[in-house]
Amino acid sequence: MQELNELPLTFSGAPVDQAERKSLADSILETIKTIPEGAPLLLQEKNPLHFLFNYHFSLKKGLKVIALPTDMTAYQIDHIKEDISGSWILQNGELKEGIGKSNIPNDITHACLTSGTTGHPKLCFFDQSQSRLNAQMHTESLGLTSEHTLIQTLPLYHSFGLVSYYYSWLETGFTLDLNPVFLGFKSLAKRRLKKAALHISPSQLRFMLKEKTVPPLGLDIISVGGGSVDTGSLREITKKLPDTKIYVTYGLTEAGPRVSTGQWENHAEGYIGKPLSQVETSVLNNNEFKKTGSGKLAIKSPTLKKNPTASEIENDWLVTRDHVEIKENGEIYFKGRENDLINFGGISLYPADIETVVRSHPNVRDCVVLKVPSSTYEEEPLLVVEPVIDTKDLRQFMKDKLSAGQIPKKIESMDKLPRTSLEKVDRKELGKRLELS
Amino acid sequence: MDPLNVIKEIIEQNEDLEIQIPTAEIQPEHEYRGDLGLDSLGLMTLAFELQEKYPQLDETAIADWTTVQDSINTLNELG
Repeated sequence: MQELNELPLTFSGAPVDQAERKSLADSILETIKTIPEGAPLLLQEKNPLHFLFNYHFSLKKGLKVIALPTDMTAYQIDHIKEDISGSWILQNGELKEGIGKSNIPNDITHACLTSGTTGHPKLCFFDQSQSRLNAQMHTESLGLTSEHTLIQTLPLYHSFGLVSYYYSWLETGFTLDLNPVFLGFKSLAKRRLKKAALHISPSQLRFMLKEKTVPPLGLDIISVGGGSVDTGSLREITKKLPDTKIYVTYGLTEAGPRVSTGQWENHAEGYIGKPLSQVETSVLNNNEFKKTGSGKLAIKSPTLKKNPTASEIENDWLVTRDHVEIKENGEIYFKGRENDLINFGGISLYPADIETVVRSHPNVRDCVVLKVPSSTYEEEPLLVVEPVIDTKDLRQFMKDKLSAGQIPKKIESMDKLPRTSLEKVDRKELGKRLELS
Repeated sequence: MDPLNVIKEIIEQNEDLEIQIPTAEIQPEHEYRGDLGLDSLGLMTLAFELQEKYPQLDETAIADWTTVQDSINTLNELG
C-alpha cells in the first residue's frame, strides 16, 4: 500500500500538487487534534477532495470513521448518534464534540451505512484490511492497473462509493480524478482521456445514452453497478464505445461491498458476473443452500461486515434480499429484489422508512408507498395518503425528517385507501384505482 | 432573458426534469435538491438545456448551485 502523498491525484482533471496536499493534511490534522484516538467520527463533506483527505487522516489517527451521505439530515444523523455513543461529527470542516464513550469494538476501524438515504440506516462495521482486500479483488477482476485513471463522478450522496474508490486507489496506485459534479459524455469529451476508467450507476448510464454528444475517446473501462442495468442500455453503450470494456458489478454494503463482477459481452438480462476471487456464493431455496439454481443469493466472504444480525446469517451464509440464478459455470443472474424495496437510481429505499415519517404528520390517517417504474431511475416511490391533504405542507414536513432522495416526487391523496377484509391497505385495488400497470 | 423564467420553461418542457412542486411555484430561494428534488443527473440535464440559451455556461458550475438563486447568479454573470 502506498502513502497518500505518493499517489497520483487530480481534481477536475488538474493535478493536486504536494503543497496543496500538505495544506489539506495540515488543516485536517489541526481540526481533529482534540478528538481522542478510537473515537467514532461521523464525516459529512460535500467536496470530494476534502472528503478524501479527511477520511484518510482521520483513519490514520485511529478514529473510527463513518462516511455520511451529503444529503443526510440532522434528524437522520441523530438516529445514528443514538446507536454510536461518543461520536464526533465533522461536517464540511466544522467539528462538533462527541459525548460519552465509544461503544464500537476495538477491532473495528470504520463503518459504512447500508443505504444512502434510508430513514434509519444500518451500520456495517469493518476493519481496513477487509476493505483493502475487497478493493484488491475488484480492481483485479476489472483489470485496473496503475496505468489507469479512475474518474470519480458519482455524487457524494453515494459516500460509500468514494470510500471504495479510496481503498482501490491505495491498493492499485492508479490516478484518481475527483470531480465535484457528475460528468457525462459531454464533459468527459473535453478531457484528453487516456486509459480512463469509470464506475457509474445505471441511471448515469441511461443519462449518458441520452446525450447527443459523440462519446469521448480514451475510455478503457466502464463498470456499471449500484442497481440492475438493462441489457438494452448495455448493448447501446457497447455499440457507442466499441473499444471500451463494459463490466457489470454487483455488491451490497454488508458484503464490503463488491461481490461479483464480469465483462458484459452480450450476456443475457440480469448478468452480474462471477464471484470475486475469495467470495463464495450459493442460492437459498426451500431452506436449502445450493451452488447452482434459483433462490436468494447467499454469500461467504472475508470482507463481510463484522456485525451481522442473527436474522441475516444462516449456516454461516449471509443471506441477501436479492433473488438470483447461479448457472453451472458460476455466472450469476439477478432476478429481482425481495418484496417492496425500491431501487431509486441505485439507492435502496424502504417504503416503511417513508411511511413511518408520513404517518407522524398530524393530518395523515394512513399512507402507503408504492413502487412505480421510472424511465430515469428504474423505480421510484409513489406516496398515497389518506385523507386528501395539502401535499405542499406534507412535503415541508418530510423535508425535515427524510433525506431529499427519499421524498417521493409523486404524491397522491384520497379520502379513503382501499382495504382488505383484515383492514390492511389493498395494494392491488389501489394500483387499479391509480391506473398503475 | 429572465433566467428564472428560462429555468422554469426548461423544467416545464423537459420530461426528465420531474420536480416535487408545480413549476409555477419555483422561487429563487428554493433548493434544487431539498425543495425541488433534482439530483446531480437532473441538475446536469438542466445545465445542458441552459447551454442552448447560454452557450458560455460551463456545466461544472452546477457544483456551486444549491439554490435556484445560485444558478440565476451564474446566468446573470454570463449576461
